[in-house]
Amino acid sequence: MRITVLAGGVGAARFLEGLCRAANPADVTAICNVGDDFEWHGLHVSPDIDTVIYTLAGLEGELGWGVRGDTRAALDELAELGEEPWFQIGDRDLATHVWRTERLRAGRPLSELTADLARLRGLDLALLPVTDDPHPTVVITPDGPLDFQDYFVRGRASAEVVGVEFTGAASAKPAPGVLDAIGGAGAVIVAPSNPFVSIEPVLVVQGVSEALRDTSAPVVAVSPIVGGEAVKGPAAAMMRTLGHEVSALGVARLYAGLVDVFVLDAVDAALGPAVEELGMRAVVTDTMMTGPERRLALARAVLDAAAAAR
Amino acid sequence: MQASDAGGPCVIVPVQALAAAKSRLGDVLSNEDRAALVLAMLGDVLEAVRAAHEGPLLVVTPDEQYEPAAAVARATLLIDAGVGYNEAVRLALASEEVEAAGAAAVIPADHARAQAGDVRAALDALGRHEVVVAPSLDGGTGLLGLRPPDAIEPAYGPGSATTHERVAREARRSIAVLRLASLERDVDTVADLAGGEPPLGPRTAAFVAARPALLDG
Repeated sequence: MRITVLAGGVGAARFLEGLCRAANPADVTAICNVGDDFEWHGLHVSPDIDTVIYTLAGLEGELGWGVRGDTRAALDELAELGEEPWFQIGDRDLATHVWRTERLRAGRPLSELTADLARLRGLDLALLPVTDDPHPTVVITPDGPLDFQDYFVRGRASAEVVGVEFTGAASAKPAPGVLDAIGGAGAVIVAPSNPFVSIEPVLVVQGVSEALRDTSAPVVAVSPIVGGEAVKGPAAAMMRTLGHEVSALGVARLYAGLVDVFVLDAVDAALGPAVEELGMRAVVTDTMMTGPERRLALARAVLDAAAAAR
Repeated sequence: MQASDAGGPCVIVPVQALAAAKSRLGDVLSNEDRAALVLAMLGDVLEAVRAAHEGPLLVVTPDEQYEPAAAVARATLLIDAGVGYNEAVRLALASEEVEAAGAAAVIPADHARAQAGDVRAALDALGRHEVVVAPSLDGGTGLLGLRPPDAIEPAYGPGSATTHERVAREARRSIAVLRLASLERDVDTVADLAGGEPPLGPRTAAFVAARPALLDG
């Protein structure tokens, strides 16, 4: 059975790591957000794709992103040259961006390069950027719009977010294979990622939302909010400032009409009936992926939930 | 997930009286042709909306002549006083249909390239945000989504996309700004009827194809 995952960064990478042990990785397709992509000193950086690759290749950084044990000689040298090192790119990580940028400049699409990188890192899953086209996420604050990394990394996600802007939604076409991966899947999983800046940019690419509605596969979403807090990142703060209840139920409301099954953590079990009132099945399990066993158990629980919904 | 979008927001398509609509095309089109074009574009917009949305659909206009076009798309005709675009939108926003739906999305009737996928993407975004704006290339608003329907006051006119975004921001309304290709280009002049992507809807394209001299002039 083909399993397709809509993926953001760290939460999705950890989920995929468990999934690739719970199922045959050759049956898994991950469709990655590229809204966080940006240029760093002239190099194209795809943070979500790289986080997924490093995590699945066993190189997961200590904080979930980057390469474990990476050094920072290049960053230190840049600082010597007077550059502000606001975005942390380690030395080994840098090689990925040099490799990719060189080939993008030669005209090759991001989807091909992502597939090549996954293969070079020994991965068996199919890894797709949602689009080969520029599709940046802009966050809207009370003072005006901010490029995503200016908000997320430079500003440490401290700005109040009142909206999101997808300037590329008009021209971004799904990368080859994206719509087929959703339409032809036996199960589609929405990873425990930020609904607004990881999943929404995937959904707004032409045809993706429709493919999700039209697929005969059960669509299963895993809550990124546990016990009223984000497992990682600014999702909770963003839900609050965007006017949503900061809970797994709040997330379920965002996905109502798009998903069949909603997976929430045991600490949120009391929200299950309210989730079911939204027209989706609620599945309660341990969703905190704090170790290899728990990642595997979550992946199995999600696959079981998908099988039961078919 | 094989969903049907049975409820959802109420979609509002405002259109001027048939005799007055698209008056800027009066120099190149006879009154009869101009009316035929307005009807073709409305038909295309309604068809795109219907392909994306099963729920309530309103055509707001001062002109009862649109009744058959509305009926084809299972839309309800709401007659306004014909005193202005924002007034027409406001009237529709205050309607029973919108109140029952709890949310509304406004799509002008001259977005003849509207495609169901883009409409659906915008309506989906309205499930996650209180205000959705799809700007058009000329600075106008190709789609305005409001949840609740009074989330912000409609402010159609030049530069309305920026105005809608700013007002939503200042009101601390959650907003999504989506640039959607098929809602970026409305039809104001003959040049807007030229080819290009995304294509004109079938009725509008047939209107243009039947008049080969139109784009030469």
